[in-house]
Amino acid sequence: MDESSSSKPISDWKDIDTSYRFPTLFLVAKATGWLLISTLFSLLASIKMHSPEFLSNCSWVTYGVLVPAARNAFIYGFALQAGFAAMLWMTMRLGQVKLRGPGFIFIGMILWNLALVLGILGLMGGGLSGYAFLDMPGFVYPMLFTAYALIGGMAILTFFKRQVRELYPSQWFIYASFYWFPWMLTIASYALFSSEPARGIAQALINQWYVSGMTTIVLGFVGLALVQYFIPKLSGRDLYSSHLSFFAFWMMLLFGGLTGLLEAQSLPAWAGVISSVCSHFVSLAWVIVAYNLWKSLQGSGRGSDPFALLLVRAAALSGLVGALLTAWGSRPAAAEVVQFSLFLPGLTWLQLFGFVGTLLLVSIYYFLPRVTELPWKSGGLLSWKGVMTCYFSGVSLISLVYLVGGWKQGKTLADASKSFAEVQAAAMTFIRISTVGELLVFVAALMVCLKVTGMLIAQLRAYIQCCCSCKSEATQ
Amino acid sequence: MQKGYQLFFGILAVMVISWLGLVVFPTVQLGHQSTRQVKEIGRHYPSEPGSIVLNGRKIYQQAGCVACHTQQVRQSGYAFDVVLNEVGDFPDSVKQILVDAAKLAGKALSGEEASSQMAQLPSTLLEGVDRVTAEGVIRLFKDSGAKVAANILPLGPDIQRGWGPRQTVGLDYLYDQPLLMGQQRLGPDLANVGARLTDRDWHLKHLYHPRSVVDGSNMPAYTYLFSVQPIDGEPSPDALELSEAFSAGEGMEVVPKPEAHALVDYLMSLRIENPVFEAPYMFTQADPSDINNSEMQPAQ
Repeated sequence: MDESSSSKPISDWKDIDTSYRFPTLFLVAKATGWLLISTLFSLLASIKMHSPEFLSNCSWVTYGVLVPAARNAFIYGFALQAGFAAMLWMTMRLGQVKLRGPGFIFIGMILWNLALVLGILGLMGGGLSGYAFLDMPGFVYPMLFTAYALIGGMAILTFFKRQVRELYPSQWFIYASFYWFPWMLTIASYALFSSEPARGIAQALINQWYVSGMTTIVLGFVGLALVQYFIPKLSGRDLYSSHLSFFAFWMMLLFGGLTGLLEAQSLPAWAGVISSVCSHFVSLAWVIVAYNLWKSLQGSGRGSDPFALLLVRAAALSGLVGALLTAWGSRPAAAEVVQFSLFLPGLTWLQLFGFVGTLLLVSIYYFLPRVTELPWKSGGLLSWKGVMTCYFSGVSLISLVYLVGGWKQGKTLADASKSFAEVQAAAMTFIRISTVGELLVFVAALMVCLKVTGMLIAQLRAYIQCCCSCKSEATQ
Repeated sequence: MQKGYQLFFGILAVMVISWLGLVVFPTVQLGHQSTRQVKEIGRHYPSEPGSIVLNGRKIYQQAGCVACHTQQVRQSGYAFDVVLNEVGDFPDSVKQILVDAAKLAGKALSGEEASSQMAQLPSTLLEGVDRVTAEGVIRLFKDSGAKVAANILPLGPDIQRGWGPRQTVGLDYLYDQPLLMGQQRLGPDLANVGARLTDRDWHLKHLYHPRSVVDGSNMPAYTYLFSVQPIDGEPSPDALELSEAFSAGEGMEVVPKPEAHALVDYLMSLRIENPVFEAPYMFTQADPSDINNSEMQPAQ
């Protein structure tokens, strides 16, 4: 699937990349901006967990507000926008086609970010909805859908005009992700925010359906698409078997939308059982993907960019471990312990920040210089090696302490002879350590933001210079 | 899979399956629940919350309390206490049955002990036994004329911590819009907090400064729900009585805003104090002649 080995003349590639330059730059710049905001909120929330006096006199920044604000900024601001950029890149590069309708993408992007600003401000200012992953007020979702229709519509148009008709595994995954998203957003937001919303306990099932769909399918598939794009690309070898990918793809799609419900006694019994069974199928699909990637990498050597390849491997490992632990934690015996503990946020960190987040950052690192034809400014703390080491070690630390601390907290919670103060104490050391991880991730996000802003400024400057020189040539 | 339309229709089909399974089916199965008459409390349960409680709920929702507090009590199973309520007309045979019943439960009971049990009614014959043992013992009393009951005792760490007398069930959330069940227990469960903590002043002080009433609590202070104001002549009757360490200072008082009162109203309205069909916990009168149909059945 190496498009550069095809016979396309270099000038055509330039055309393709130029058509995509500004949309992708703006998408990525906004995505990294949201990543910074998300990690800042998350850091503040983490401090508040062990220092309750910190910023306690403001209703805008209670712990309960900062956590959903950080989560929504990450999902809708960073992951989905950086995911759009990756989707456009794959559509054009693998389909060898120029981007259609960049103007509509711009409008969509502006509307998306406007909705998000209003949503996050609304959430912090008293409009918190109470539904996980849909924490923003209800008016935001039609705006997000409209914005998405513009961006996704142009992606579909570009897709239909592609010159290479063959679809690679990474394309199945990324298109499935961005095809699933609008459906799910519409259904869940309609069911929960319409004038006649779902009642009582049914809300929990619909909300969890959305959360698991977002984690496993929408964002999970963005990660899986990127990992299956980068491993062949960076190692210089084809994917071992597209049949294995095909099998894993349908398995994950079929079962991924039904995971994530732990056996809670307030819910009907079937919900927990189905969810647990489906989590096991998803983890099996993950093992198949991992086997496929491992076989692809066997004997490939260090590849063209060993550090990026290492990061992709580490991200894939996070995804695999996340899926296996999700399946393990859904078994009734384990669910009894991990339910209500920090174990579940630990899994979210592993899957969203460790797996999807790392791959999206690698994609920014990989795509941007190729699209803009400008190299990354390297050196010192601002080198990508430094940034990504900081990011990944922070994420690993948080995931680890939440998983281990959550297990310990859950064990203490399940022991009735322990008072609740002891339950809190069991988790507190881990919570304190997690703040260090949050700080590392925030610093990494800040550096990524600076790097991308630097790239954006350099590109704008080059563009203005080009315009000026063209103008002076014309007047001469 | 080389064609776009294969991908398109394949994903659409899977999406529809997932939607039917986890959105449509639950909405049909659970979306039409209605209140139920509970004989123990003599009214329908749950009752519709009033506007003050709803206002308080809104504040609970806005502050994101759900990030740290669940409202779901878990239960790992049941145990049973077998209680002798009436001896009836054949005390001798009842005495012998008591000795046999103790044997069945793996205990030794002398004739004198059995007599003393019969003298002090109601008398707990067995404590915390499983269903099979309780049923077996009650069956022994069949035809003896004695009245024996089995009290249902929900089990589990949440119950033992006193977070609720029974597990929560779907019916408890009938009027919860949006649902605030919670997923995290950084703080204790609140499903039954209104019954556990009945002191209004305690709640207000706890919201103003949690550590003023709970040592070592890591709950943040919600001071923005209170006005700290200079005492103008007479102190406000509504002002909190705080210890010196937490007071607002000389000549100042802390008065709860209406939002604080509404939030406390909401918290105090959170109760799961009645048995429901899915989660019985009060005993029902035993009728030894009809074991399977009456005494072991959950209260409805």
